[in-house]
Amino acid sequence: MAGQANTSRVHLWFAGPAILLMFVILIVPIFIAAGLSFTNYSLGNSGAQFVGLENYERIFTRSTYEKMFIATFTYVGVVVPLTVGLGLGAALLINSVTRFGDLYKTIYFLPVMAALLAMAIVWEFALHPTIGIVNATLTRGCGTFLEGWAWYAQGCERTFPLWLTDRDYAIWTVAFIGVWQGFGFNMVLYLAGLTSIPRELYHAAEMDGAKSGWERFRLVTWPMLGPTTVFVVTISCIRSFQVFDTVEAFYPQGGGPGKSVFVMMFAIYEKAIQQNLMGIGAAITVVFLAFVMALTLVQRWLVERRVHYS
Amino acid sequence: MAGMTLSAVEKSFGETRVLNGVSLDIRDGEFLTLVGPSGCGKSTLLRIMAGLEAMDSGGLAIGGQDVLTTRAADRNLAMVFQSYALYPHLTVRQNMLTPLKLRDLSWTQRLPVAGPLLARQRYQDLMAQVKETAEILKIEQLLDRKPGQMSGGQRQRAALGRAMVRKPAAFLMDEPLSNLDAALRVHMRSELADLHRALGTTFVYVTHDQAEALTMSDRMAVMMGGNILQLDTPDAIYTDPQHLDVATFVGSPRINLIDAEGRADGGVAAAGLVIAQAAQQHNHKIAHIAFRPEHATIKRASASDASAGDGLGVDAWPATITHLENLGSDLFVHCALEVGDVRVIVRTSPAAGLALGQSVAVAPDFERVIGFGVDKRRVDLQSRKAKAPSVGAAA
Repeated sequence: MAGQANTSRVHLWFAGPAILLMFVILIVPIFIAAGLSFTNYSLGNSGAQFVGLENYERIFTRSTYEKMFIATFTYVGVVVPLTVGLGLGAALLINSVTRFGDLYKTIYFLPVMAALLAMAIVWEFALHPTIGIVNATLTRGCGTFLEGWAWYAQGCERTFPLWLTDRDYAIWTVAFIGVWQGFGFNMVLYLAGLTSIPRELYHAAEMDGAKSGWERFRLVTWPMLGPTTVFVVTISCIRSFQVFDTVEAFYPQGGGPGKSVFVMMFAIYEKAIQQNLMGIGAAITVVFLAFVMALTLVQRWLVERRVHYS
Repeated sequence: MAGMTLSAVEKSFGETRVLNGVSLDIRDGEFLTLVGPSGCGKSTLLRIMAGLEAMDSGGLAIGGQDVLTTRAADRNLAMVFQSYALYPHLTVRQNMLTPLKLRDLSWTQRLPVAGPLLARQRYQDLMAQVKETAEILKIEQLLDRKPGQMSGGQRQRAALGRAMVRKPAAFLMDEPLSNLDAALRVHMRSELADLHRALGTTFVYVTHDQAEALTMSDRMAVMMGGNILQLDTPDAIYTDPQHLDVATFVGSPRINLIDAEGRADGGVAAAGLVIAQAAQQHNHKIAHIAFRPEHATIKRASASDASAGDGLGVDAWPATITHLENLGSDLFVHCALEVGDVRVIVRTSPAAGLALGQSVAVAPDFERVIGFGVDKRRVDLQSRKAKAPSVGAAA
């Protein structure tokens, strides 16, 4: 058998098309982007000059890109823990109810299915400072015990925040919408993970004396969801790094108040497409790819080391 | 250590009745096996004892104490599951430590890092218990492995270790050997029996394998359709089954079963042979006679025997050999009786020199033949008015 496999070239014909496609549409473009990132190439401009690391130097020194990193990491730092936590919480709750489970699943999953661009318009209305439902609701609370909260009292006295256009609030508001939109997806992944936990493990835990729900969660649920969690966290990270449509919908010009919502994807779009600065756009892309690559490697490492039991 | 008493336990899953008022008294320290075909309710009964399933009605006492309202975690029972149900992310040591930690330590002592520091002495005690149990089961060298790195037999031991380590009042075992290969299963049977002798704790063992029940238990309860048909020692169940289903379920190869009828003169006839006298009050009810493969002999039917009619037609069935199963130590001869469409299996020695298609005579040991009525219950048979001189020879 082994001799046959060595002489035959059939395997090339099986693997060849996939490898070719992967090179043409994945590997080669990445290398082209990496190459472009060392030039000041712009579309339509036939001559491009090699500028060395100048583009990268800019990314890591200019304040615009500092804001880009702050916005991106704030978004990722808020959205990933919250979507994972809420996704797990919702999955555990839905898994424990005997009725209406499907209804809740649908409700929580709706934002995932909806087009974020359309939803952004709805949110824009809801968060509008004068006609929006959010601030109108908050105003109703004025004069009640809620005023004991200094922030609330201040809101009643003057106005409640301009959620989308105040530079102190904008990135948090966008992150909130990201959480709202994203946790349903994680919930579905966790629900799938929960159904694959053998019931007997819970019975064993009960026989071993795990009486509280927390003990069962610590002993069985959480460890058994390990592989799911690694996957969910990685996917959530990558999706958060890729956030673009909300930013583009809310702030088509310039990435929010004081560039506070200038996330990486939007930066690539603005530089490379709007301003036709392919070189710098390519450089941001390469940095972005490096982050995603690092995340993926960490995931692989975790998966192989820690969470696969059988 | 404790005995257990179940009284009139009933359980339904929706429309399906699983247990029809099962009563069972399990003595302190005995090895009791619940055996029956799949779906007979034996696992459900075990899970009710464990507290993992609630009964619809009935009572359950462990060690004389009513435990109906006690949750599983507080019943001080240990369970070994068919799939072992070891925690896959923990090593064997941690798996065995888990029940000890959950029962014997306060929540502060269970904290991940601070706990072992706070309660050093307690942890050392628990570790010593784990080690002791591991030595009994000879799994010390496996303590640092995870379940995924072990074979089925090793996992089986680890699961036993986790159950044993906290010295429960009784062990509940739900088909613990059915995931092992045949050779290991036979080996583990004797190990489990040894373990039971050494621990002296009550074992309740559920299996669908009648061989396990026969070889391991002090008493076995044969369950069918949500009822216990017979509860007795393995020997009594095998030789003296009180119900037709018990007789056919227990024993391999299956007990030979032949339709029988009561005759006007009180004789019981099957396939043209008078087997016995029925006790008068049962005579009208008899429907089957049965005998074990080892309770019959094969006689060579030479031409002269058949024509001479020297009693062969009276104490034996003329038959043809249809199949031979040679197990080395035993030879199982499958015969088709000439009267009626009946096949029987007879155990004999491989040295008998029989051949396929050969005409023989099957002579049952009339003293060991048992009868069953139309309601499948046992019917007492009286020795047939001994006309045949060769009854003794057949035994």
